[in-house]
Amino acid sequence: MWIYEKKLEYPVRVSQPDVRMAKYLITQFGGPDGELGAAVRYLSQRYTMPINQAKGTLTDIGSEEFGHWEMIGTMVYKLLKDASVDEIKKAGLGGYYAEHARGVYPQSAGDVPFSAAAFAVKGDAVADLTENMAAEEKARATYETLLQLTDDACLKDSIKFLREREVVHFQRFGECLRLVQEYNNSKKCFATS
Amino acid sequence: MDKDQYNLLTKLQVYQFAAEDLGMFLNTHPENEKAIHDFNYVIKKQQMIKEEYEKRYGPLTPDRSVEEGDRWRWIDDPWPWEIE
Ligand SMILES: [Fe+2]
Repeated sequence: MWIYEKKLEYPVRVSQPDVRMAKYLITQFGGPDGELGAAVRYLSQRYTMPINQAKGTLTDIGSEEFGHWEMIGTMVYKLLKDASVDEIKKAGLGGYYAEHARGVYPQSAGDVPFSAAAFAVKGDAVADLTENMAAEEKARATYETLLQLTDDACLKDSIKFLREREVVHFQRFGECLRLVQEYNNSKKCFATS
Repeated sequence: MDKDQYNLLTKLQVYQFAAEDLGMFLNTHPENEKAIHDFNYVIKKQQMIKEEYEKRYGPLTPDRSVEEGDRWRWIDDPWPWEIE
């Protein structure tokens, strides 16, 4: 089960309201390659993993992604909090404002509400872990483009932390994939000998 | 999972749930003395049982110190969904 800890994994501060940036960031909150999708995808894949290293790694990374989801939610909240309705309209979030006001709603940058299609679960450890490695690289690439879209040094600092975590997750999944392949090979050898 | 471990786990689940439920009640009744008293009782029991369980069967969270020379036991099975 899960217990919530009342702190962010890494501090989130913003220098000023920025509706445009909130609009880009929200895709990491509720878009197809976002943190919510990653969290539930990894935690859903755990059940059929053949080795304990992979069960543990998916549990830990899946849980950490919820921490990242909270960091993104905090960024969006802070970027919208003191923005005027006029600024919100000008940045193209008028439709969003009509439906959600300054609420933080899980959707993509293109206004598509969060979809369970983001939870890829194949039930095959090699396929799932390979998928996750690609997902981590996609998230890293997204954070890199997001870094180009803002000059806010405070915000950049938090985004850089998230980018680095994607790199670490990619490495850990790579190690799990290698261990699963070794496990699969040892089973094959055993079965044919 | 052997019977002793299963029974201790059940006991932990009982007290942990009681603490969770009382805590939730306290969110909307933060000054209720009876609930605070009960909460303190179950949380103390929960802590004692958790300590015993972890000493005997390994960590329940991945933030426990590891004895020098021991291995990282966090990943050991059974995982929750594997317990019969
Ligand atoms: Fe990640």
